[in-house]
Amino acid sequence: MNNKLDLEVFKSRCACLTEILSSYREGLLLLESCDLKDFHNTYMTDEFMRELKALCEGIYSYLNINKSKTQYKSILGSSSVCILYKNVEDSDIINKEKQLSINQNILKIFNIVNFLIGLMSNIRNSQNKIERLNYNFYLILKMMGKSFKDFIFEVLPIVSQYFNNLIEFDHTAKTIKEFNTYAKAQNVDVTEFCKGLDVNVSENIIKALTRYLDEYRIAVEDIFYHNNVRIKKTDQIDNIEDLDVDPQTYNNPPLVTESHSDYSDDKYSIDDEVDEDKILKQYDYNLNEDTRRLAPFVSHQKLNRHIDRAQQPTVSNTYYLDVPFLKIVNQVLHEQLHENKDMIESAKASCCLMSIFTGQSAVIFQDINRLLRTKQLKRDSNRAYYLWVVDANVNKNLKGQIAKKDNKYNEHTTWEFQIPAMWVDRIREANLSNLTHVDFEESLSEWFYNRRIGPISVTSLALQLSFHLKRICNDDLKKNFLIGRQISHQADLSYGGFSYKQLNDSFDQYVWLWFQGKNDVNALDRPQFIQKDDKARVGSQLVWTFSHAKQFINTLNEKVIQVLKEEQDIAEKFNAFSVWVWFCCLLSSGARPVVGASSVIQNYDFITNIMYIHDKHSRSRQHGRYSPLIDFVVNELKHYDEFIKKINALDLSNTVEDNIYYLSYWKKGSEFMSFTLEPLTQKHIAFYLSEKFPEIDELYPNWTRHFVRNFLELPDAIFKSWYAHDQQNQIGFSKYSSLQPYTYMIEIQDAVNQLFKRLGLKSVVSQS
Amino acid sequence: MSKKQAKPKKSFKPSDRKQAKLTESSLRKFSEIIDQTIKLTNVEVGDQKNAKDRLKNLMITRVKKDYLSLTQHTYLLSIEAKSHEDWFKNQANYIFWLELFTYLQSHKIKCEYRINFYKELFDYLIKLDDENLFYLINKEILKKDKYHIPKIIYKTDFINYFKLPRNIFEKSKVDIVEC
Repeated sequence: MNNKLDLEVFKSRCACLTEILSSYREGLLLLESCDLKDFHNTYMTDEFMRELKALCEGIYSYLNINKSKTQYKSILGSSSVCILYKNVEDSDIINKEKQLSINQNILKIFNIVNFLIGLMSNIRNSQNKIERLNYNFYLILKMMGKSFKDFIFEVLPIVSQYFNNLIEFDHTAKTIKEFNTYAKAQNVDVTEFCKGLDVNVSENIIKALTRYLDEYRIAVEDIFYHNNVRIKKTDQIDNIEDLDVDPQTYNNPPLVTESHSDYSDDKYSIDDEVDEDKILKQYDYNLNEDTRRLAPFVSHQKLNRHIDRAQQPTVSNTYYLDVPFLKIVNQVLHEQLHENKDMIESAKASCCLMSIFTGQSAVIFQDINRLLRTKQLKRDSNRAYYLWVVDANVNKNLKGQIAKKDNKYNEHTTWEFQIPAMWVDRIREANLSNLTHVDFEESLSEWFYNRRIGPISVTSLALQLSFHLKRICNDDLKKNFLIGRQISHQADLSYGGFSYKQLNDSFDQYVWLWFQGKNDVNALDRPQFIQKDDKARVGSQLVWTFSHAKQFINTLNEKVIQVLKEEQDIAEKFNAFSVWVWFCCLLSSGARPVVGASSVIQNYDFITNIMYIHDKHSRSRQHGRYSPLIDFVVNELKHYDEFIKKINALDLSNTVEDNIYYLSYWKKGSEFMSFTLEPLTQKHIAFYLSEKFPEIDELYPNWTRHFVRNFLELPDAIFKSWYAHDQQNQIGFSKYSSLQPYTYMIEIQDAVNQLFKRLGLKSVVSQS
Repeated sequence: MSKKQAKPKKSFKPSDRKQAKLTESSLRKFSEIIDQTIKLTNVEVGDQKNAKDRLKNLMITRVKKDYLSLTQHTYLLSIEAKSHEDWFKNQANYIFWLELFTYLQSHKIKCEYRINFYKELFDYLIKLDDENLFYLINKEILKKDKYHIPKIIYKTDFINYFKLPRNIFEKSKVDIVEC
């Protein structure tokens, strides 16, 4: 009937089908993989189905008679759906049911094939692959109709299950190898099933089926592994509203993935290569009486929430004690310490006092020897006082240039303050043991009976430090350091540095909150501070002193200017320029020293002067962050780019891969005048510095990040976003964030400009 | 004289095509140098292949001409004992350098790469350690029409010929090349 169909009608039908299919595929992509199973029930109406079938029928039968099928590979697969699609309206009930199930299974396969094709079409140069997928679909359906004619009802569900399994496999968590083994096993299952049927199928048909099915395994592998397409699985994210990042990031993965990071040669583990989003807060249920008692019965999630609420530093928190009450509490505790004849009670008061000033639960102080063993508490040599040690927890075994004498900006790794010896001695004398929260709280309620300041508990005493420091310290970082206990994982603590004197001052303010004034009778009996000179600092051991770093950067600056001006060797010139721009990029972005200093060409926008950085090695961050660029660096980068273009290095080098980075390193080849341009890495930098600056010992690769963190004057919140130290629910510019893009950009630009000015850097190009 | 020691029969003169083929195969080991030279002289990208072919043909034609005439330009002196293949191989070897030097005199290497290029070229040449070759280069190019022809290549001759900075081979900063 259709052989009379004229060519124009046929062509318009083909165009119509192509259009329908492409919009259908787009719809599928939006729905994501997990909904594919029942997709036809919701998305494809009966009417649409009938229309599609009629269209396919027309096209397919015409193709069968008049045209060579291979020419229409792109629609052949889908149009061949009609081979198996039978009209169910007139047949008897049993057949009708069977036919319905067959149709459903075909639709399932149809959906998955189209879903894969949709994904595939987002990948470059995939036209051939798409045609193959389509053609294979046709071959499978044809085989079903021909070789398994009487067993379609049994075979189709197995085949559709195969397709389903390919998609449902957890591609993000499993490796390519695991996937392949799994998919091949599934393939074998299908073919084994087919062999087991009563129908006589030849070995060749089984082989062909294996091959057809395997094509889809390859397609899935290509999409999910080689092209890194990530698909959001709804079961991983409960509610789209809970997402703090733009859901779009899941659909459009960032340009740079972890494969571009290169820490391979790094001897030290990079200081903050911890997964902030995965490492959860460390909750200690023993610190809070309620949670301690309820821990065995109540879900941890609820307990964590309870602790979070308890620690919320607001005046409306029930544990919060206002400043006038602090003085009363302190007075009562001192009274108990000095005047209670019961040694145990007096020691308990001492524990409470220790708790107030250290932020730890009073209960832990009964075992004072343990604290001495762990060196949290130290006895001073003249035995006049004990020292409470707050450890910055930084890398203490550092080698290289920065470790040299006078080269470290933050000399100390710990901050200490004195605790009156009498408090500790009293606890030791009393020989406390096996006391619980309840014991302490009984005493507390007895001491504070009739004082009318509300309930005082072990928890409330310990929490005051965090509450009041929150208001005294202008930045979170300092507060968290002083508390001495990382409430949650804080990568930025490992970069930070604090003036010893400022720490003393802040804590001093806190201490005086508990006393009536300098004339308070108990004022002598308080924590006191070790006086250090103004320059003494605590914190990251990887921060080079400003003067030394400035000297190095200036020498490098001068050297590069000189090389570009006078040196004739092109390789020398090239590498000197690259090293210079490397340091410019790192100092201006505070980024980690990953390949090419994150200088992915596509990630730069010189109109808004913003770049996108994604330098985190761990899988925690699928998305990067934005960093503003300053004019100085933009100019240097542009000059560098012009330089490369002028000498035509990209065409002359033997570099095979596309160069996605601005920064490259010139490596001489073995043949005449041959060279390659490799993306610049810290290995190259280390090699260059060891050759050209033999007087400088090895520099820690990530020193610039530590340097910038300590010498850039920026609010803590901006640093967190800029350094990607924010946690999943605090990410800058997310819906809970009050960070303004404009402020973020201007503040960083101003601060970096200031830093570059202080460093006295000169452009290497205008000078030469 | 036994039969075994008898001189091999002289082969027939190779055909024109065979001559070109022999020369070309001997030039193959220099293809990297030819490629880089063409790339680094200011030849437009589209024209590079033609320029390469032109240079190669120049060399091949010269070898063929020398074969025809077997004049004083035949650099393999004991031609009698060798096969045609050897003759072409050696002749091409010498002609390559002579033609390259002549080519480089008329075509400037890109300014930025000049120092590296000539340094590497000189190193490459010296590493060949071929007295005959050096003698011929001197005779034909560097010390043409001079009375004394040395068997080594002097840096000064090389520098003079290509008009390079005087201190190019020294470790100190090289004088700026005029582009």
